[in-house]
Amino acid sequence: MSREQGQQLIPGDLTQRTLTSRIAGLVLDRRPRPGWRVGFVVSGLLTLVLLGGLAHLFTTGVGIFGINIPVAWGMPIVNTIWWIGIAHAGTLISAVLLLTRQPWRASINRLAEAMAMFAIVCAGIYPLIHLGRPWLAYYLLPYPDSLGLWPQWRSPLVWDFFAIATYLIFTTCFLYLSLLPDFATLRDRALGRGRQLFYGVLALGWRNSARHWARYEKANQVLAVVAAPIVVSVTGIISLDLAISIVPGFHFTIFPPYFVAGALFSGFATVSMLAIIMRSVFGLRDLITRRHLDYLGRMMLLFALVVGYAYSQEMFTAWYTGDEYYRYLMIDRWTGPYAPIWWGMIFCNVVLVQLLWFRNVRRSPLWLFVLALTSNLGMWLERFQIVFTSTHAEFMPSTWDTIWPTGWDWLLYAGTLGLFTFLMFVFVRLAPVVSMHDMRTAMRERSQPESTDHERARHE
Amino acid sequence: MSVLVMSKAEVGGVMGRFTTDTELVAAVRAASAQGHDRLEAFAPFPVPGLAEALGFQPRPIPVYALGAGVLAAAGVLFLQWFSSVIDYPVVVGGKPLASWPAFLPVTFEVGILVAALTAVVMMLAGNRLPRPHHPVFDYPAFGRASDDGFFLMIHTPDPDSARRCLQGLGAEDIEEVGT
Repeated sequence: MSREQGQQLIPGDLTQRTLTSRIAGLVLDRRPRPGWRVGFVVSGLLTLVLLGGLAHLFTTGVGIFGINIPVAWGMPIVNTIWWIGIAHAGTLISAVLLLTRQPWRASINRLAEAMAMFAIVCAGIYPLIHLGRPWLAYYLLPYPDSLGLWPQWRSPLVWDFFAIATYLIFTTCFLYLSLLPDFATLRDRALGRGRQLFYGVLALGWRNSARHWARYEKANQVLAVVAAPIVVSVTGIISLDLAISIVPGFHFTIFPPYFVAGALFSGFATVSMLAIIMRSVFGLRDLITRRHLDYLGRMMLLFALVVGYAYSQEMFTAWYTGDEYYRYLMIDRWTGPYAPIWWGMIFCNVVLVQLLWFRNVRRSPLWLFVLALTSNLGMWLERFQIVFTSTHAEFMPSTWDTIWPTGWDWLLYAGTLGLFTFLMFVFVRLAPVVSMHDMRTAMRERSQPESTDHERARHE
Repeated sequence: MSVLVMSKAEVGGVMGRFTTDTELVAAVRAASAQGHDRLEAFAPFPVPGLAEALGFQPRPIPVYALGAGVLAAAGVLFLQWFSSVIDYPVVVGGKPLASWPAFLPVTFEVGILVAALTAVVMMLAGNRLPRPHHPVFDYPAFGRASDDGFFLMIHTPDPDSARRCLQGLGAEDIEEVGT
């Protein structure tokens, strides 16, 4: 690809018609691309691994996990926090870039929203399977039960339930609303009766009427405005699970913003990875350009710097409080049994990520992919060290212990990675991977910037 | 008001296709200047200024969403207070029964969730969706409304004048729809 092409967010020779046939063609072509088949089969097998692992878990019990007092949370909660983080950038990219009318949003927002949707599914699995008696999960709901009991509203676990459930429902609405006009396009272009029916039902009879669009834009505005507080509050609330306790390493007021920054960091990393994969599998190099990758790299770097700042604050606070337990915790993180985790985290999230200062690195799909991968790894290590090192050596040395994840922990983790990938691969076959109506708007704004501004000014 | 417009819209009319959104907006203005007051326009993306040209102002969905969100937040705050103070008072860790700061996370989440759902439901209900079939789908060129076609439909009991109007504005694929 020439440098000139890489500069443009939308290819110059793209018309409304070719855009529709290209993007819709990715879905409506009967024969999937070879890269897609490989991904589908591999991730499908991993999903089966997840189902097998869950079957063993439900028949045996949570003892198969590497969880034991004092590390009662273990890897399932590490993974919950990690997956939620990945989900967040999806929502944020779509919503904040919509509100600020960023032109580079159009070709990646669909990927971001789908990523949010499937990451939240993976995140939601863990708290449920981590319950000793998962069939009693509904106790978290306030319903008129026969014992006259209510949820404990002061418990962060109840807040968690409401936060994750809200996020799941919201993400579903956000994604579906964005898909609705695109489903109408697919309905109008599908040839087989079965497909026409399938997309016809999904499109709900959307007619592209100006009145439809006017209401649609209003509703979309509401969702975009609501998305930012949702993103901040959901991860914030999850961080309160830890911060509300008095455990050194957990009890820290910086946690909500620190978790949000970490969430966005890993989320932008995942969007980059998905964008790089999708543009090569589906030949979308002209729609998802190097310039898009550049922007994603900048966002990753920004949030990596915030995360690095939070690490420094954590160390400073440990020293500044003069609290013996807190200071010991910090030293234990550097030198204790989990030290490689902490240093690995620093290497990935603070050291390696500095490469993103270089424009050529941000614009290189290979480099960006590698750095996104290490960033996600680093964020996973961060969640790991928060959960494990904070609890394994608390106030009483007699309770100290070192717990490591078991094979089942890793198997289920691989399983959710597979489930996420599987859902993504299925999604891109059933729905357009690039939002067609957002692209049309972006193309229109490119072709008539002055009239759009004029009309907007008049409108306001 | 909207019910009245919808029932009028069922009358059927004449539809024509334009190739750009600016042409469509201009055509809407011209047609209404010629006295056609029951117009409907279709475009593959939200065209700025099109709804205004049609004289259409949707209900202020954000205001309703905010109202519903605040009501839901108040409701769930009341539920937490009622269940912790009146219905099942348990003192935990010496905290007051009405420990309102601890009630805020759930209040906030439920509030924004209901606001978002209100917006989505109002959009669907206002657009009378889901409605799998509609007479406009019988118009052969209508598939392009979700691709690259910009359509103007004139609802009128006098199809000939509408047809002349669309021809004068340079529309293509002019046809009668949904009688």
